[in-house]
Amino acid sequence: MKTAIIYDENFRKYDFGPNHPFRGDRYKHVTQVFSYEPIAEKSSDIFFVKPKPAADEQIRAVHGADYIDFIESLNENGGALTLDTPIKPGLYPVVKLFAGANILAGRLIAEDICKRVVVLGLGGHHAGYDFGGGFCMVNDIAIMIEYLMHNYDIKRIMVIDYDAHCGEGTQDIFYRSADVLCLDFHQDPKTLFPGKGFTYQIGLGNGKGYTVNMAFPPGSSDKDYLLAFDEICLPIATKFQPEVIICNGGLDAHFLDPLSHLNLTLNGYFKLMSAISSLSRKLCDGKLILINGGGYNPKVVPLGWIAMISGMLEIEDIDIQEPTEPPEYSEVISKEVREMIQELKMIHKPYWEGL
Amino acid sequence: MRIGIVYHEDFKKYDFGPGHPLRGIYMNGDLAFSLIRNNRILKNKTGIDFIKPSPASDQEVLSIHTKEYVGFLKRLNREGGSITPDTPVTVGMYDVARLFAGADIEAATLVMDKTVNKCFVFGMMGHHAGADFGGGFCLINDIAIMIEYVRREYGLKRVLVFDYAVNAGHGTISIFYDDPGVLCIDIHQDPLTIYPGTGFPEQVGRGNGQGYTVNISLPPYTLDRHILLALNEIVAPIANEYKPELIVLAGLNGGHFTLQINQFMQTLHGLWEINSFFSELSESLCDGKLIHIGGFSLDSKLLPLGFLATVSGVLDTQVELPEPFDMPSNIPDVGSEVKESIENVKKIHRRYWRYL
Repeated sequence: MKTAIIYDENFRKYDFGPNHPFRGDRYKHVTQVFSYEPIAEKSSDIFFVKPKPAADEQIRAVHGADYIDFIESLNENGGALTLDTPIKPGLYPVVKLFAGANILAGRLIAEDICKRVVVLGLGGHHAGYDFGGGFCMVNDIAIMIEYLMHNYDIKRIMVIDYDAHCGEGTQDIFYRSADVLCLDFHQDPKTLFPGKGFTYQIGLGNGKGYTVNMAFPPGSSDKDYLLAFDEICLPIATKFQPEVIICNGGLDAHFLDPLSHLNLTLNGYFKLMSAISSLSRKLCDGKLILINGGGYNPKVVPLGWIAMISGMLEIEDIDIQEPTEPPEYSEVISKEVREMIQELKMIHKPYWEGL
Repeated sequence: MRIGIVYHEDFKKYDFGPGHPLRGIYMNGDLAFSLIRNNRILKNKTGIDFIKPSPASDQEVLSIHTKEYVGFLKRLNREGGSITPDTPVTVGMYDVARLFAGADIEAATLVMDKTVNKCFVFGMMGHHAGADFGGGFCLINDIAIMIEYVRREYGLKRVLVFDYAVNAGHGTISIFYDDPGVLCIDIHQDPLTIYPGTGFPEQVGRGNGQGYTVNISLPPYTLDRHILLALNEIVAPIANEYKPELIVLAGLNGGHFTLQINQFMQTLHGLWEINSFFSELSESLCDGKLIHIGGFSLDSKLLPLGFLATVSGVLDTQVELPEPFDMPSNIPDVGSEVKESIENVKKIHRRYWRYL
C-alpha cells in the first residue's frame, strides 16, 4: 500500500517568534524521520508530494466572510488573533499552504491514487467558523473535509483528534452535522486550554452524538488512551462506518511536553496509531490521513513523528529510546479514567447502539 | 405608569463562597428597594409592584439547554463540584438558577400582558451559559430561557437583547447565533483584554443569523460618552431597522470606575444614560415593552445606587445619583481608539444593515 507524504519547505515559515512554543524549525526534522531504519526500509512504498496553497473560495466554504476580512487585514498590517496567537504580516499564505496540503491529501485518497497520506503540516483545530487562537488562523482540517464532501461522493468522515488540547474549532464547525464524527482525546478542559470539550458536550441538533469528548485527567497514560480507544472509539466508529479517517495528531500528550500534563510515551503514540491504522482497514479500505498537530518539546517532535508514522505504516515494532524515563503508571488516575469512560458511555448510549 | 420588580429572598443563596467575586449578599435587594420606594420623584412617576417568582420548570430549561448538560448540572446540584475553575457549584445552586429563569419569565409575562409597563428582575443574568456549557459564574442562561418562552407563548418574531455587562455575553450569543429572530447587541471590553476571550466585531452570526449578532468591543478606559457614541452610531440605526417587538436589557453596574474586576470607567449617570436610551427606543419601536435583567452589583456600596440609576434611567426620570467616590483624573484618553472601534463595527455591519 502506497503512502504519500505531503511536505513543503515553506511550512517552516509558520513561526511565532522567539519564546513562543510554536517555531518553524520543528519542520527541520523531516530527513531524520525518514532515515529511521524501519521507515527507510519501506521507502519504495513512500512518495513525497508538494502542495499548492488553498484557494480563497475553499477557505470561504468554512469560515465567515467577516472573519476572513479580518485575517486578511492582519496579514497585511500584523496584529493578534488572541494573546497566544500574534500574526505577523505574510503568515496567511503559509496557512493557505497548510490548507492546500490537506486538500491535496484528501484528493489523493478520493481519486484513489493512494490510501494513506501523512501531512507534515499543522492541524489548525482551534480555529472555528469565525474565530482563531491557540496558534491557529484557519481550520485546515475542516477546509479539507468541506472540500471532499463538496467535490466527491463522500458522505461520512471521521476525525480522531488526539492532540492534548480539545479541537474546539473543528467541533464548532461541524457541531450540528451528522456527516462528520469528531472523536476527541484531550486533557480535561478544566485543567487546560481551550476550556472546552467536556464529556457532556456532544453536538447540537442533527449533530447530537457526533461529537465525542474524551476528557482525560492530568497524568493519564498510554494504557488509559488505549482503553478509551477500545471502549469508546471502536464501537462508535464501527456503527458510524466512515468512508475515510482523518487523524489530527499531536505530540503534546507526551509526558515531556511543556504545555500539557498527560503522560503518553512514544510507544503509546505508536500503538494508538497502529490501532487506528488497523481500524481504517476494517472500516474504510485503509483510507487514512494523518495530519501532524501540536507538540512543543523539540526533542520529542521528531521521535513522535517516527512513532506515529511507523504505526501508520504498520511497522511491527519500534525501538526508539525515550529522552528520559517515563513516569510510573498511576492506578489512581486510571480509576478516574475508567469513570470518565463509563460516564461517556452513559451519555452517548442513546446515540450509539451497542456502546 | 406601573413598573414591576421581580425578586426572591432565595436569590441570596446564589453564593460562590469566600474569596469569590460573586457572593450572596450582592443579591440582597433590601437597600436598593427602599431607596426606590422612598424616592419622591419616582413615586410621583410610577407605581411599583413587587413580584415573587417561582422556578422555571425542567421543560423550560430544556428548551435551551441539552439534556446532557442539564444532567451534569443536576448531579452538581446534588453533590457539588464545579463547571469551570471560576464557577464552583454548591449543593442546591441549580435550583436557585432555575429561580432566576423563572423570574425572567415572570417579568416577560407581566410586560407582554401589560400588567406593568416595564419590568426589572433584580437577580443574576446567566449570559455566559450556552446550550451545553456554563462558566463565568453562570449555570444556565435565564435570559435565553425567557426569550424562548415569550417567543413560544406570544409568537414574537423579533426580540432585541442588549447586553451591556463588561464581559461579552457569549452564551446568549451562541444560543441565538444562527437565529434572525433574536438580535444580540453586545457592548463589552475588548475580549483580547478580558474574559471570555470571544465577542470580536467580525463575529456577526452564522447562517440565517448573519448580521444578527453585533459585537461592539471597546478598549480599557472606555468612558460614559464613548458608550453613548456607540449607542447612537451603531445601536440606534440597527434597532430602528430591525423593529423589535420586545427589548431585553441585560447588565449591571459592573463597568463602574470603582470596580477592579474590569477596566471600564463608567459612572452611575452613564448607567442611567444607557437605560434611558433604551427606554426611549422601546417607546418608539415596541410600545414601550422593555425588561431589564441583572441590576445587582459586585460591590455593596454601589448596589443600591446602581439599581436606582437603572430604574430611573428606564423611567427616563432624572434623580440624584451621588457617586460614592470621585472619578480619578489621570485616565488615559482612548477617544480615538473608541472611534476606530466604532467605525470598524459599522464597516463590518454595513453588509447587513442599511441605515448604518
